[in-house]
Amino acid sequence: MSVLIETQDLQKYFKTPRGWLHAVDGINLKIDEGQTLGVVGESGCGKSTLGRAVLRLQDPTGGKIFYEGQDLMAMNKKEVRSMCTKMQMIFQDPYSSLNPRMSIWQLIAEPMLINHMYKGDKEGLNKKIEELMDTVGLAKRLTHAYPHELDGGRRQRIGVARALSVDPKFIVCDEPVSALDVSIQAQILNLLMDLQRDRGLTYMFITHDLSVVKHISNEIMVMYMGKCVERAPKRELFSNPSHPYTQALLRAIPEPNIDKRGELQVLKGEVTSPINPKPGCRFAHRCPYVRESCLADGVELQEIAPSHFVACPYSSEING
Amino acid sequence: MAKHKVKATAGGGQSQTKEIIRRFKKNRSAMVGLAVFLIICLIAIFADVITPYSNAIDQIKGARLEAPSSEHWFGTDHLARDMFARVIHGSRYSVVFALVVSACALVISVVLGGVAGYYGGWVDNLIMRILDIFMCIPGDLLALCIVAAFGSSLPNLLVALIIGRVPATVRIVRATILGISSADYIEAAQCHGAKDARIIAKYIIPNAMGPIIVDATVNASRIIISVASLSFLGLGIQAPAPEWGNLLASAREYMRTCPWLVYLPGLALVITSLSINMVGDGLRDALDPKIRD
Repeated sequence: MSVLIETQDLQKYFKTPRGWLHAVDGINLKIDEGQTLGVVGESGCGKSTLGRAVLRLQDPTGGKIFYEGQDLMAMNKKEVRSMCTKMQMIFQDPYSSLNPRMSIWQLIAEPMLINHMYKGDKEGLNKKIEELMDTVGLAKRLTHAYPHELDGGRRQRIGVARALSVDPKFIVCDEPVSALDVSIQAQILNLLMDLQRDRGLTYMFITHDLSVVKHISNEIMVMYMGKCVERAPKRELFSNPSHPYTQALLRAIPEPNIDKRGELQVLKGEVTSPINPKPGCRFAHRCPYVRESCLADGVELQEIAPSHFVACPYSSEING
Repeated sequence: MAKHKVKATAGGGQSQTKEIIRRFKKNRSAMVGLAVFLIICLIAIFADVITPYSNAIDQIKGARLEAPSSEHWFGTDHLARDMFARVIHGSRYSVVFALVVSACALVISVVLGGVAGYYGGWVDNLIMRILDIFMCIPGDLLALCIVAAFGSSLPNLLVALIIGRVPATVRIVRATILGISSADYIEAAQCHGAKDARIIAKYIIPNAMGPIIVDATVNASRIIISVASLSFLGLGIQAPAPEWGNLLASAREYMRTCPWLVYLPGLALVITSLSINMVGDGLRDALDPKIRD
């Protein structure tokens, strides 16, 4: 399998009156073709910013992004724009991500029109849109409806159809189901997985919902305050979580079986400010196993098992 | 609804314009407003055909302060001029001012508000702070000061009214565009590779048009009142020109004995202003895709 997307030391800082906000801080990731990388973390940990930075929707402050070996950071604005036929995004909120002035036909046609596809071939365009609507499960009679006439699930299907219209290989899914009802969530997730199977799509799936990420991902990356704290294949991460933060996250999943329920350990403290963060482990202030050396610089990802990376030097001791 | 959907073709843009027109047509008060305003416009255009301008200016011997009759429909004023001709010709000032001033104010405001809202940063700050200074003075008072300072010629009056209207309109345009440019669908368009020009033309302007057009119509009806107020105070259109505010000002003294001299031009003023407001309300409802019929 070849690597489709790779980032090296990707950074995105925002300037604020109080200093630099480190939203994404030195992320290295690799996604193989046809695979799904799940990115999880709590609100404000920089996972959405990471997704936008990878697509260069927000210009990264530093680092490198490679798409099939091409360096995206070396491209100018025009070249980046041309990459949008290869990389697409599905947005979180299907209510605000669709232009209310456009009909479904226009919404799905828009990416193709922008990229001069089907130029002068109206029939081909109509056929393609019909196909796309069929693929994502939108009834043909809705072609000329407007987004406000539809429910959240159907709107999100438009979002999916629109992203697929330019036949991209890579799609960033930014919490595509978190604004939907649970029953609709399952439909959209199954749709995304079917599409991946049929078209060999590669996903970067951003979510805060661990059950969703468990359902869809091959590999999972856990983020905390702009840094990757743990990265591992799905099974490995769920069976052998090694970073104290990942452990806390997994423990927070409600367990319906009362006999299996262990003692609930709640994380103490608040997320510290991501503005000009102190060196050392960013989780140190909330970590139950914190040591003095955690506050010093040099907490890097280490491979503790094949393709299982943890940013905690004491993980083997903790898990004892 | 079903019939409409079958009718709409896959052409895109056009079908929505049709939809807006269809919804506007269904709104009875808006259609009445539009009809009344169009009639007033026609009266203004064909005022000379209805009655020559000389009738509005020339005095009629021995016919001072006459009550409405078959000869003089609206009676005559204190200088023995035919009120009907004066009211008819007065419509020209109101209609021209309403259209010209609100159109100019709209263009200036869309440019200033658009730049401030879309680009933000120091440009936004500069434009808005300067306008804040203008905002401190109420629009009509500002217009009054400008006319009083530079003299009440027609260009001065136009400029004064435009300046009086611009600050509030810029705020509305800026706020509208600010809200739209941070919407997710703008980011989605960027993600599809759309250029700035396309985003402005197909995303920002169509979504901003509703509030802006409604504001322009509200402005038009306010301008009619403003022109009349300035003329009433003697700073607008100068006598003997038959501007409605002028008619009211000179009729004021005879209000008890000859009330029609006040009522008739006053009524013309109210009907014109009201009809534009009704059109504005109808447009607002028709332009909002979320309001279903």
